[in-house]
Amino acid sequence: MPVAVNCAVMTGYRVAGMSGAFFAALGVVLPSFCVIYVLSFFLGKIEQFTIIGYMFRGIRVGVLALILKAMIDMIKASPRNVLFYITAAAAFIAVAFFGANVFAVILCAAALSLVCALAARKKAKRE
Amino acid sequence: MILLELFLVFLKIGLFTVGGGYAMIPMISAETEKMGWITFEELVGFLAVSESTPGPFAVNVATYIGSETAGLAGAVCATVGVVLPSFIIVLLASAFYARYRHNIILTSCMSGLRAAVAGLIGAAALSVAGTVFPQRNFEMLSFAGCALILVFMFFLLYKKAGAAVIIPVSALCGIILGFMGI
Repeated sequence: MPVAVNCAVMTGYRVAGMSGAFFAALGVVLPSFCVIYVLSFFLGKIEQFTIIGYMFRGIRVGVLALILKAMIDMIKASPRNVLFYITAAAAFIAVAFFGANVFAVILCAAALSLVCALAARKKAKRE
Repeated sequence: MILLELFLVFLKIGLFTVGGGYAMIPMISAETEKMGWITFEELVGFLAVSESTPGPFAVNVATYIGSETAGLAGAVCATVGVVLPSFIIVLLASAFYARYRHNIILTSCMSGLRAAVAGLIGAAALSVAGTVFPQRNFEMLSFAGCALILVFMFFLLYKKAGAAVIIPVSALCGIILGFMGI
């Protein structure tokens, strides 16, 4: 869920209730909507230029670096326990090598985490 | 009916994506390839474009695919679809946040989600790497690619560089290397 949208909705709601949330969301979405919509007409045309091809080749490398950074950030932001690593590794393998359905993977991960947390709490209560 | 399809697919994407833009790539590529709306290569190319434009990647992608598939109406349906889950959920969260913050069900699900997302991003990275290094044998392109990745990662992790810097630089590198015949 896009962070920008979330922040806009939250702030809008606090300031002016439902309609505030609605207009804030509209405001944050509209500029990019217009830009991309216009751009979509040109994107097809410019692809034929070789220089654009070179540019995209380079950009793909930059994008790969950005994606790797996003993964590292996500790992840093989480408690680095065994459950985390197992779930992350399982998700990675399932999607990368077995083409697993991404939604199913997410639901399973949430369920697994929930089960482990509840089991740990039961164990703690018994002690 | 395509408008409804666009709306529903992006609704699903908007609902299940945790962790922002890049985590959506596996989901978006799975769903859109299934519907035949965009190829993975095009998606990666578009990812780069969206870095240089205003707005979150999720919204950009929805607008673009919607527009390519079904014109202005398509763009609107897809964009509304991807934004709606955030809108509703954040509204609910604002109302209930204080009460359920420490709810164990919520926090444990979120940890599980974060772990899954880390893995999913890894899978996305693998796919993108496939487009960056298509050849199996080692050539100048692969060396250049590896070297660039290492340099970019260094600046991203230790020098607080952001996408705003990396994308133009990588574009320039691509052009230079292209003209050098690599």
